[in-house]
Amino acid sequence: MTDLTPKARLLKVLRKEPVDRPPVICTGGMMNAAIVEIMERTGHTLPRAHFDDRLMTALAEDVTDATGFENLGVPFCMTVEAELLGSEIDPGTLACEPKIRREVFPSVSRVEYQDVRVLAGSGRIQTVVAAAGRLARAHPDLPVIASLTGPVSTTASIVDPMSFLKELRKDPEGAHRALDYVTDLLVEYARLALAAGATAIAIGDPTATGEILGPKMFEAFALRHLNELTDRVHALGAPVILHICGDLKRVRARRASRSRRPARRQRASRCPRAPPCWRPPGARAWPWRPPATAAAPAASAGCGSTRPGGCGAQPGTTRTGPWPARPRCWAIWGWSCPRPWPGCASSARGPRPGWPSPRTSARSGTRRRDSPGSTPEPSCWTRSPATPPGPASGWWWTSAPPRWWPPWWTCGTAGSG
Amino acid sequence: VSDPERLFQELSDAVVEMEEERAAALARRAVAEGVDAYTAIDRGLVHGMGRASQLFEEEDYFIPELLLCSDAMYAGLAVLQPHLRRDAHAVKPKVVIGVVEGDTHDIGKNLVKIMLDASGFQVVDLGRDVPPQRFVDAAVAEGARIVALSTLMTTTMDGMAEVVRLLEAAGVRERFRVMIGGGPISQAFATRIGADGYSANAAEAVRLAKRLIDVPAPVPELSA
Repeated sequence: MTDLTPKARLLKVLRKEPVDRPPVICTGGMMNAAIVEIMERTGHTLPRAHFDDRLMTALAEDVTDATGFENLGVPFCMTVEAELLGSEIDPGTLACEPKIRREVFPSVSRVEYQDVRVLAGSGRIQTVVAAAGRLARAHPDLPVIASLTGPVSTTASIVDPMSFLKELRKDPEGAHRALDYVTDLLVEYARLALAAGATAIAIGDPTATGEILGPKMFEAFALRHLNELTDRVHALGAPVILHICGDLKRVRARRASRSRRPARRQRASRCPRAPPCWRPPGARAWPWRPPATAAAPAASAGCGSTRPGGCGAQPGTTRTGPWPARPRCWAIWGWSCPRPWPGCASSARGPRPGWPSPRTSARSGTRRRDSPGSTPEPSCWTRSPATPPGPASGWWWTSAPPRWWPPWWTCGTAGSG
Repeated sequence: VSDPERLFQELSDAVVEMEEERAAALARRAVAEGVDAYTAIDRGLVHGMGRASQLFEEEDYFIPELLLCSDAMYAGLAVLQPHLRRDAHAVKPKVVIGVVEGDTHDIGKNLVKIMLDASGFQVVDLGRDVPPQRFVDAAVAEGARIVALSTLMTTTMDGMAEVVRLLEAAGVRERFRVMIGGGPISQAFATRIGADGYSANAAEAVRLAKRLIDVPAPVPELSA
């Protein structure tokens, strides 16, 4: 086991597999080791490196060289997302990290929503993604960690934090809407970073601490959106490392005491934009283990969904409450149902070659679905797909509702894994 | 005319239950019924904020709740303040508070400000990202008794030492008590930089402030 590369070791640990020794990493983002001494020695200095992907790459390499941490981490601040969403930032100095100078929105009800896919393709997210790509290409043995600022912290960086904290109580729907928006952006950011070659996603969400929010708010807001973000990144096929500051003892104590009262454990039903079965326990794209029991048809039945494949609920789960008439974001359905490829043993990520393009899918879908005989064998894309490669931006990240659920949706669950 | 005792209790409850509009309505009722504004503030609003702060210490309430309680308190205060008799304006010890230069995290500072406000201090808020010299200038200009410094970041905590150093350089260090707080701050750091005190949270900060200037009993009457 001594020939493990740092990357393999980290991935093994994150898959909870035995390793020779623990990996020693420093995620970057809010927890980075770009100290003044390193920067002065190499000349790759902040704050310039926050804005230049080549410099950011060089600095990440310097940090790894100087400290011996077994990973490369970008970026070096917590303002990438908030700046993109409109907040005014102070770039900081050599010794002091950037921070929010002014939050752009006075309250959650005043948040202006933009298309996250357009947003994610601009600003410093591109800098970080480019740096992650460079690092991944230059260091195939080292894990590259892209660090996101978590949904609660980012939202508290675009909405005045005092109003935001109050509105968690006064306007919970507005707060959830803002958090959903930020979460969507973060998923898109993660997707780009992973497509560029990042090994893992780290989420730093200091404001989500139970010490600030209290156990109730932590559960209602932080936990829900962090779970969603994590699940959606898992569905992209990458592990997630989460950091929250503070002492969680009380939050955990409360959760433990709540779990003794099963009547109150209707966690998922509080999520307005996903059906109650949107996150089945145990069914996750990461860490790419084949499911213990292949039960795709049962899953769809148990979920109550009329869609092929359902949303991946475990058999026996019953849907309570109505299916939302019109989910706000269809793209989410694709991602939040984390069982697209449970049978694929590959850890490959990014847009899958061989996925049908949205247009083709929509045209030919009904026929295929209705006559299984003509449907090509559901196949993992790693096993030379029968369908021709589609564009990188398939329907699953368009906002149009899918009219057809392509055959790979059931990939791996019907015994093909 | 209802029982004033009950009105005070209701005012206090409105604050604890975070009901801004009810606090304001009750305050208006107090004014209409001719209840002494000072007593209504002291035994109603401030009493409620005291209970909220106790719940905060007991970890029943957290920051969102405390902020909403303070909103309710301020809503009641806005109504009652104009009706305070002149002689009720006691001289209140002044506190100059702010987040040190380089840092913009001010939730903790705002909490301390609210709690000091509700405990008989007059708080001069310099805001966030405040250069060290401004603390010194403001403290001297305002005739403050306490300079309260806050920061969340390790990279900016040295700004606190700089404030203490500047106070010494200006020869006014003895006129002020310096109290500090924030995520990376500890009693050891406070001792090292020569600050007079450290507190871990907002409720403790009030006790510390009172201890530092040796206030015998809570001085009521507030600034809204």
